[in-house]
Amino acid sequence: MGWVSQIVAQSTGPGTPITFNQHIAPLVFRHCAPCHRPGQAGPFSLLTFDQVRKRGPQIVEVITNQVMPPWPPAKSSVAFEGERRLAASEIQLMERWVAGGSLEGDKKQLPALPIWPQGWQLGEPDLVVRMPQAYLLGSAGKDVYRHFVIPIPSTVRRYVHAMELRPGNQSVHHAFLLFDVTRQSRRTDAEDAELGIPGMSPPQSAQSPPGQFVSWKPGTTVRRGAPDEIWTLQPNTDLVLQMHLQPTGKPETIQAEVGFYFTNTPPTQFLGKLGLINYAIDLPAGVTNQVVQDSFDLPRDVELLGLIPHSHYIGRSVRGLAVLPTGEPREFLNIPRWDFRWQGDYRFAAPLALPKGTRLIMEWSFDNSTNNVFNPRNPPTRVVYGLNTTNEMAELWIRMRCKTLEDQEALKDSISAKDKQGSIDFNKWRITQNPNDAMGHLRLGQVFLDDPKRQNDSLRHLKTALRINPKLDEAHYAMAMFLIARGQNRMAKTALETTIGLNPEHADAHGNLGLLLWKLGDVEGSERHLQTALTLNPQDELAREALTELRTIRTFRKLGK
Amino acid sequence: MHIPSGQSLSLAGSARAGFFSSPGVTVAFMLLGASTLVGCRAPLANAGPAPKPCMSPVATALTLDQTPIEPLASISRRATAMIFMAVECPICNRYAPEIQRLAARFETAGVDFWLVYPNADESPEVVRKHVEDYQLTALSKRVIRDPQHVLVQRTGARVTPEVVVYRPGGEQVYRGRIDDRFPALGLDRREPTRRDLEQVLSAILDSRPIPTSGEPAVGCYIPPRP
Ligand code: HEC
Repeated sequence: MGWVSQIVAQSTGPGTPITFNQHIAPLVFRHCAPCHRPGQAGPFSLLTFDQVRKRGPQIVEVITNQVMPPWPPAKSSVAFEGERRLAASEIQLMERWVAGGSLEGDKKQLPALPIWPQGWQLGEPDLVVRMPQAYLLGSAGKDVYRHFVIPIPSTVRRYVHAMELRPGNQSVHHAFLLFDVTRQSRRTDAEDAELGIPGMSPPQSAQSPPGQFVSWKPGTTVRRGAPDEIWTLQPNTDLVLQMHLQPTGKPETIQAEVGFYFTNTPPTQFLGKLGLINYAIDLPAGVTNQVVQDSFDLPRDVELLGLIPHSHYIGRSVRGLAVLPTGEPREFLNIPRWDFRWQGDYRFAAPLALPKGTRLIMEWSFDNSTNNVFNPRNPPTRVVYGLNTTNEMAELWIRMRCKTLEDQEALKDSISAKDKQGSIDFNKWRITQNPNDAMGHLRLGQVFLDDPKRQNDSLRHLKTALRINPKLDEAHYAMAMFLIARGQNRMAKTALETTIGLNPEHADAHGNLGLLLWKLGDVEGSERHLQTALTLNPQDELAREALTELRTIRTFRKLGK
Repeated sequence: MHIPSGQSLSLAGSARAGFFSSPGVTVAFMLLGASTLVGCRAPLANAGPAPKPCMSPVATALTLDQTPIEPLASISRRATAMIFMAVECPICNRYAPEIQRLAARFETAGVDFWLVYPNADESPEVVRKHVEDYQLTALSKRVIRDPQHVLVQRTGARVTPEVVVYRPGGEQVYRGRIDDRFPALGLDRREPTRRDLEQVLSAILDSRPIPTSGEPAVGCYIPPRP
């Protein structure tokens, strides 16, 4: 294609007048119009000479400052899919056009507008769900983070290869698509009359699909999913839309919809997700560049497929680095100016193969001073780790693929050991900050539960959690697990009953109570609770098997009589 | 022609430099300009492409009924704030609630708020719809267009939303941003840390020295006249 660039070079040489029709339209149609056209996220259209001429100086400013096209990562050695960046020569061209009086040029040279798909990008989806009610966003005020729970009317297991979110309103700045197989998100939503769950942190049971990251930001294109993007949608799952809404100046009604595309091919790849997370964030007021890290050593050869960096408002920059066993560093992510409004997931243009022994490093920098315009506190105050918008987080989630099931298991084990240690460190820190933090004690009690050497610690923390908050259903449940492991079945039964009394929809409590009652000889009670467990969580295979077995035995008994 | 209701013509002005050097004498200019402009109404009234500028001896700003208007004519009040606006400027839009709030707070205290739409291709209908959509109707009596950039040139406004504040007597005391919520294109604070316009108007009302003559406004550049 050398001759093409030659022609372009000739036609833009010094002294040549730069015109819209010849030089600017192709650039704008390609880099701007995908979002700046009717029905898309851009707040105005950039399709005609008049529309572009009118905004000439503003366009030069936003492209020089690299505000537009929106693409936070700087160029690094590993490319992402769908990178949106202008070449220096394109920026210069725009500057010259504006400086030269924004000439229109010869109409014959105006290229045709690109053809964009109408409606759903991949055609009519197999299933469309939408927010059951519209959410009303006020005209003014701060940005809103909210989770909307949408039941998915699918009673059979489906394999999903693609999804498209249609926000339907320009106030939606970004969104993550999460899924909840329990009813926890619905319950949390029902706690108040307003639609949706406020804040940046969804209920814990709302997760991105197994092995996947799914997010939406302006301009997201949807394509047929690659084999590693196929995942299993369980029956009766709830979609939890985590949305960042930015008031536009007038009242807006938001009723987003999501289209699903199914395939008959089940997922076959050995995927894993790693969270590099630093919980020890403690940012004094005024610091401008406090660095926070986390790392992980790969136990097997893997391929990195994609990532999501995450922090709240005062993240300043984030880097992802792979240090190969040879010591050679490879940067795979560099966002020099973090802007939480343009969050999302990134997929590598090609999988990044890394050998066993590679160290993956996350490096966040925070600016908790007034220099940081995104700092929500004025004057700044100390900020620590936490899920609330008033706290900070430092995370880098990485999606990867292994070659074999055995590698995948090894990777999972390493990741879960790391997560466990992370949870211990974080919750220990939490209870030093507040010795009466029931959740901190509960989490420590839970983590130590499967460590034979820490059983006393487990009991101590669970007891403390229950002393502080006797209504904590999860603490009663964890206590029941502790008791079952010790064969103290009667006490365990009481603990499970208490759990269910506090939270009638605790599926696991029903399941375990069902098994326990069977052991204790109460067959009717057992069947009832197993059935409830299965209704609440159709994925509970243990309850399903037990129930089948129980019914078979009862049938035999009846026959025997 | 008709005189917009509620407007005192005692101080109507023209577009020439040195405005208000001879208050009260310029009424004739305005009447002349206005009568000449009547013939230009039809093309301006439709929402189509930008109309050709009328060949009038004296250009003026226009009400949404296409009547010539001089916002400083009623400057007997404590102050006048002109906010330059555009219908497709996201930063203008996001300021709409703040403009409402400031107008509600200061209008009763004697400050007139004018919304000035300088882009010639924004028809009266489009402007009217913008004012309604963004709930600025409380200001609708003082929404005007400035397709010939009379006010743009007089004030030196460069972007929307930019504010110019006048004291009685026609002295321009402030030109700049509403507040510091948008430090640059693509950046916004959750809340402003300095509310410049509010401070300036409060100072005028309290007869205190004016704290700032204006930090640059951030928004959409006002395009040159076609
Ligand atoms: C991926 C989608 C996308 C692309 C591509 C894109 N824009 Fe934008 N643009 C937006 C959105 C969304 C906004 C609104 C910004 C906001 O709400 O934070 C915006 C805002 C703007 C603004 C107004 C800035 C402000 O702060 O008021 C300008 C000017 C602009 N874009 C120009 C461009 C130009 C020029 C290009 C091409 C070089 C471009 N955009 C490409 C989505 C896009």
